[in-house]
Amino acid sequence: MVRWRQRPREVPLASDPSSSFVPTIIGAMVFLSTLVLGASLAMEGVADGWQITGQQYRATIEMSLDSASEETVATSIEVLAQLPGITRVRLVGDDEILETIEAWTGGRPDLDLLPLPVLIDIEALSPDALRSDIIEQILEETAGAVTVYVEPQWLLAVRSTVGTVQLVTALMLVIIALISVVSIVYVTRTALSIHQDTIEIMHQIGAQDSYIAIQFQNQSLLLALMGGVPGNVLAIIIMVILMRELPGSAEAPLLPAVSLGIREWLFLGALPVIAALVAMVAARVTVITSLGRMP
Amino acid sequence: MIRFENVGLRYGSGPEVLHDIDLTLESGSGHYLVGPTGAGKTSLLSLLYLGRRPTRGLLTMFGQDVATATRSALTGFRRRIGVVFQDYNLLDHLSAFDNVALPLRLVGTDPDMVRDHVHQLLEWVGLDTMAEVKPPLMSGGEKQRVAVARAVIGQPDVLLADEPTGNLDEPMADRLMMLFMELNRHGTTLVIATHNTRLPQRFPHPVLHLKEGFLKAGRPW
Ligand SMILES: Nc1ncnc2c1ncn2[C@@H]1O[C@H](COP(=O)(O)OP(=O)(O)OP(=O)(O)O)[C@@H](O)[C@H]1O
Ligand SMILES: [Mg+2]
Repeated sequence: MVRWRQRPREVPLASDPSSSFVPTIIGAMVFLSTLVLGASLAMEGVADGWQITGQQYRATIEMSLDSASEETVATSIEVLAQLPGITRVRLVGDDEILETIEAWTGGRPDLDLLPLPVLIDIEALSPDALRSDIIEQILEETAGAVTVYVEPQWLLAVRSTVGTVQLVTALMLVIIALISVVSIVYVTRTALSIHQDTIEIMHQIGAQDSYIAIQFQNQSLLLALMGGVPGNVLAIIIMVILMRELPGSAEAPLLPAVSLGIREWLFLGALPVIAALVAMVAARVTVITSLGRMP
Repeated sequence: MIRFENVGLRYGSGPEVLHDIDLTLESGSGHYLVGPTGAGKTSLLSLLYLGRRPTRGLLTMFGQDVATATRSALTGFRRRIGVVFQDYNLLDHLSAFDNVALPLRLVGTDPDMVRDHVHQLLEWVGLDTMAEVKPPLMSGGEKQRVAVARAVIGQPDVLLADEPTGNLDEPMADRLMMLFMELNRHGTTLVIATHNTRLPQRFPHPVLHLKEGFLKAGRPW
């Protein structure tokens, strides 16, 4: 460590104009990408809470308790699976039902007083496969009277919106990454021409391109972190404040809370590191290719 | 062994400044390169330190035709060549110490060894008190001595010095020449371009005489 600090920087990059430009641009880019990605992750979380991810139409079938023997349930699932257009049939587990009830009532129900319903989820690619009257009629033979709850159409609209937002997010992140890389390439090329004399002398003394590249890539990494970390912290502070303003699960238990899990926060916190690594690689590749073209 | 066969050099599309150079420098030999200003001494040295390639003819160094050598091979060759440039070519933002240390650091020498070597050499050239001073704050002679120290520190196989004593008084010039002679005795091939007619008398070696881009037989004086 001490030795590393003793090493002089043979290429005096620290005094370049890039030393303020790179932190500014990378800071702005990390700030934006943190917000965009954070918003998208939060929205996905909400959509997950509503179980509205995916692009399938859904319906839930409630069987009447007196006729719901294990055998009837099994036959009904078979019958449903054979219906045209149905892509998935699934018996909803008791745990899942209990969770939902808890969300409504705020506590575990007494199972003796409240027998759990038997629910079957089905999915289809088109709404035509989920006509409640037809399903009720078909199940009449095997399971007697059933109730079919078809998921309202607007939920699919929400789902496709989530999909679109994800797409737009990805697109924005790609654009942000491109701007960052192009800026670094430009800055590095400028620095190469500013320090052409120094580089020539170093080549003459026997410096390899990679030795020279290390100086540029370290500088790029450092400057990107100098901008990226504050940009990231600022964006995260803003997100935390915004999320505090939104209704939490305590006030509105039925609305999924707008929040992020620890994994999502860690991912967002890693953005400046990712940006810095990208900046480092971009600088290195630029130096190596530019020097490689020299005679 | 270094070999020139019918070598010519021009800068860009300008006139040819070196013509039909035929020359063999045996390993471990020592030569002076003399001739009037503008004769092409620096140009000839630039071919030797691989700063330029001949525009015609064949130049062989370290057993290879330099025209066909790869970039990384050239880097390897340059590490075996020490150069005192006529205008020093020091890195202005680095201290004397770091300038002299550079060739060792490039090849990954142990830092303790670098420190010892550099201080020893700076002491020899009389600059031990100026180790931390940067070239822009130095006199011409001081810069020249830093340049000499940087050129010799790697104990190069080939040492090229372009007017290495131009800014020095006689005692200091002799001191540096003794350094060159010492390296030469240990096998370094030496070429010293100079206007100083005293040097070949005091430290005798064969003389290469350049005139208007041609190698001439015999001494100019
Ligand atoms: N970079 C260059 N571009 C174009 N022409 C050059 C360049 N360097 C030198 N020359 C020309 O080449 C010729 C030889 O120059 P060179 O520097 O080799 O002479 P020299 O013998 O070292 O002179 P001096 O004793 O003054 O150092 C001169 O005519 C000079 O004008
Ligand atoms: Mg010259």
